[in-house]
Amino acid sequence: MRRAFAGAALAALAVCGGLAAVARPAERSAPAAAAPVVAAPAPYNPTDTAWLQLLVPMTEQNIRLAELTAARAASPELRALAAEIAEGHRTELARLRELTRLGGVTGDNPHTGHDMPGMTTAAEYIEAEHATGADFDRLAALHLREYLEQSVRLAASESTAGSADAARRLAADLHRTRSAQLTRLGP
Amino acid sequence: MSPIAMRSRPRPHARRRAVRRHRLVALAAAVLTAGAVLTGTSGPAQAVDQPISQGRPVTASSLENAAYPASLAVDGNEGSRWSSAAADNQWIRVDLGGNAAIDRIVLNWEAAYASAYQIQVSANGNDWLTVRQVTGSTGGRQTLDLSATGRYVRVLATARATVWGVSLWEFQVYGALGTQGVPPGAVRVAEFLADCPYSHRLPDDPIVFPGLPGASHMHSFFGNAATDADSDLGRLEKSGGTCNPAADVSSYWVPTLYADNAPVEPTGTTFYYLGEGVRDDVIAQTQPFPRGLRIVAGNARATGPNDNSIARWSCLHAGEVNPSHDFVNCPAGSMLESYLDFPQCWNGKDLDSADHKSHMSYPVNGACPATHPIPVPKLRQVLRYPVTGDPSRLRLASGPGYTMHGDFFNVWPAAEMARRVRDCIDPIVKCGANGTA
Repeated sequence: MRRAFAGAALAALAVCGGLAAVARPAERSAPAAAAPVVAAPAPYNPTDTAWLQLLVPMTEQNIRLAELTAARAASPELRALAAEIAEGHRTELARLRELTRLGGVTGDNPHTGHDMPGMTTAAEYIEAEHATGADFDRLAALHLREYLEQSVRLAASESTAGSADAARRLAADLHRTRSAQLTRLGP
Repeated sequence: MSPIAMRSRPRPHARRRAVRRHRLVALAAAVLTAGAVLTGTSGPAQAVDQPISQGRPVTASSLENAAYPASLAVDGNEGSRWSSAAADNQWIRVDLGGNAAIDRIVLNWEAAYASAYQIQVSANGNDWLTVRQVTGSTGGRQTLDLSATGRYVRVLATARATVWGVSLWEFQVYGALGTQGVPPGAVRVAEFLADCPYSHRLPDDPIVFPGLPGASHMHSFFGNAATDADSDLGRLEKSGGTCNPAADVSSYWVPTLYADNAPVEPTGTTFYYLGEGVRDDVIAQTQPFPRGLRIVAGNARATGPNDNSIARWSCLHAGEVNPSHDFVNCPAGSMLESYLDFPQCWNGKDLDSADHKSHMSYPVNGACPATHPIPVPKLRQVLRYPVTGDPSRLRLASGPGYTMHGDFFNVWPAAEMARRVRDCIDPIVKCGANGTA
């Protein structure tokens, strides 16, 4: 009798194990994508996916703000920093998009595109656009700082809670470059 | 049923039979618990944890010959068996005699086993829902834990492992039949509910931003007290919550409402589980939510009132104010209400999806579409905020009123959810928080 129960438990484990894969989109996509493509997709967990879905639009949006600041800031230091941020972000955006493609991440994050922490709202962008001189510099620095702080926070979380090596490496890079930009931006 | 009709719906029968039914439920729960504990240990479990399929009427698509009738798969004798003709897509089905909450199926395959098969359930013996698909099976004795309701259970062998047919020493269904039929005086509305007051606020979202604390706009959480960015099923099921019934430790959350930039939490927080929205014969087939299912409803990214066809705002006891996708101006003495219906058709496979929506669907023409064939309860979130007057001072953490949305992470214990679906939704009976009429 005991043997029969042990056998049942093993069978249950085997069946559950097989089915668990069905319930997880990340694992399920692997065999389907692996067949025709050369590079096997990275094993993304939900944190990797959410971070990429969020970081792509966030970075796109901040490039716009950084370019505006590089063109309009009164302070030469702020102009130079903003130009560097815009340039660095373009490179990072290409890496983010490549990881998105490799991981088969589809669909926008359902929460992006509106009032999210660290994202400059349309109203805030317009307000900055209409400001001049020191007022512009103050608003631009404020929004750049909010954005950089949030992206450093998210990069730290992705570094610990993510699972795909490439995504975690990119998060570590972003954490380093954007922390340095924050330091230069000042309080 | 319109959202407006909901709020004045009386609940006169909630307590009448509560005491009597409570004893039966407690007894059933005790039996189930004992069975679960003993199963893993030793023999005596057999005496307590009998399959509800044993000795029940059984039919099969075919027989290898008269020596192997279908009845031998439900006779409790591991030395006798049913064997089918040598063809794919053979099936055996058992009639449990009533709608049961099914938690486990045990299949003991003979050497002629199915390498792929489906477990199907039905309320009427004609319309089948596939609640489990198994591929790459290696035969032997297999235990399938599941959460389903139905009167008929069928094993459909879609692929054979050998040139022979398929053969089962035993086909055992475990679960509980409960009290059958509609209790006298019951209100014929398919419904049970959980009241889950406000728990806490965090800029977290374990569905949309798992593992990323602070990534989200501010959310107000109801139910499970431990919900944060790192919540998963394992963590949530270890925590208590605010719900009545206490057994429901699910997480529910919405963007925080602000009035003049100060957060306002709802004082009415009811989560209805309903059958409505599909035909009655589809309601009868409704299945429990799978544990760990995650759903997002509403449109957080709406850019205008017409982007959002689901969430609605209205005023409590002020029907003269038309419901709207955006905030409404409620008269003094009223309350601002938010209604949100979640999709009630599941694809049967995924507990979540990349956009957190496409594994679920709203019904089409009173039934669940082929892409999302499993009907589950319709979760209706009803929040009542102590706010009246000019809505221009209101905003959600996600933006204007039409960005209202809701998130649900199912952490109901499987047996509690299945019992309620069996007793309240499937037979179209209005139940309260305790899951009885």
